[in-house]
Amino acid sequence: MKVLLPARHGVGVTIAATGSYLPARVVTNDDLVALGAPLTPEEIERLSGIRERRWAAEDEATSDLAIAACRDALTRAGCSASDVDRLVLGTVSPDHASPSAACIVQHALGMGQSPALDVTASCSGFLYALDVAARAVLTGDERALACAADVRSRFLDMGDRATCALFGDGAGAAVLARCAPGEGISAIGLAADGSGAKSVYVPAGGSRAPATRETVERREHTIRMDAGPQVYLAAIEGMVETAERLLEAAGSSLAEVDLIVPHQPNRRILDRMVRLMRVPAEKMYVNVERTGNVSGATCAIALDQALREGRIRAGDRVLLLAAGAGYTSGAALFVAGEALVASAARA
Amino acid sequence: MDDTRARVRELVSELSGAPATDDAPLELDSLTIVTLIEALEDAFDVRFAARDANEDNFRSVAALAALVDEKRGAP
Repeated sequence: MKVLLPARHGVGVTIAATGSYLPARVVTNDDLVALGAPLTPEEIERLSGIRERRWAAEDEATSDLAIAACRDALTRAGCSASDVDRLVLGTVSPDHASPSAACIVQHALGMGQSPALDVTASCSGFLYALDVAARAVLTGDERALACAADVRSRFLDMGDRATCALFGDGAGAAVLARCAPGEGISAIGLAADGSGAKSVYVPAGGSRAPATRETVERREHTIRMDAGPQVYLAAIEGMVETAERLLEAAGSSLAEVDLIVPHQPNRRILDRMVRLMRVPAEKMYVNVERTGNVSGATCAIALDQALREGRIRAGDRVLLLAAGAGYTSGAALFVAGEALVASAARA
Repeated sequence: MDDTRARVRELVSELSGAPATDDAPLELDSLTIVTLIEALEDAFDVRFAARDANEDNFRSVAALAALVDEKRGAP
């Protein structure tokens, strides 16, 4: 794992404000069964802990969700898009194969000629975006937007019991800004292990297997997770190990963390993490029952919701945590500033 | 070993909804396997790792029982 310790750079970087956007369409477990999911509503809830998730409207794409989340974060930060020097967007479901969704978002926000890029890290998307944006602030940018957005509902095989009920759509964003050294973000750590590249993947539509009538007929443009049990355990191991290693590098411990805001793959994974990490259940923020797994955006949305619900107070140490396909994993430890907590109460 | 096999057989039968034998190939879908892993961990006080969740270990009751015994440090 590569760990970024802002204090070593003599500059501080903080999360000034967050924002999120969830599409209006609520999809319940009953709705999924009506759409052909080969499970009962009770099975879905028992196996995943998910009761409902949001799906993008037919005319909504990933950039639309990202734009709404970024606008929300900018409003709460009290700044305009022209005050932002860079946009980093984590997504595995961009509007198009090319160009990046970030460019579409950058233009819609009115960011002038500020650079914008996508990063692809699946469910670790927000942590990867946060790392890139934080590094930009540490090396000269005044402010940067770290966003993650995904519309995985477009890539579901409704006949696949393992994946059809897990995913929701949404976006989350954070405005990063310079701060006094030692404040704000204490550490960000990222890791990847490409030996798991085909653990959760979309087989066709890329340069390895371009989309054809045959690939579409074989549903190869949808999410495949052939080794579900292995992925289930790998996600847990990835998040627990990443947390341990990041906290060690930051000279901290779980006992010093006030709230863990993890990726939300499903409820069983979160329950198992609580047991393995030996933390009280209330120390882990959980919203999976309402949002499902929103891929890379999950952690950003959860952070925004935790702030809005008053779960994070000024001075709290917050641990963001994610693991996903690739395999990728990431974690970030930060101290919530007064401005961040106050911004969450802003309309 | 025999005790482990009996308990594993019982859990597999319960979760798959069909009587299991020691050596017949298991045909469990991924959702059932995850539930089985959790049940085995509770029953035997062991912990499964991602590397354990492979086809070889889940091919039969006998193979699963051997893995459980290995994790328990049984001879």
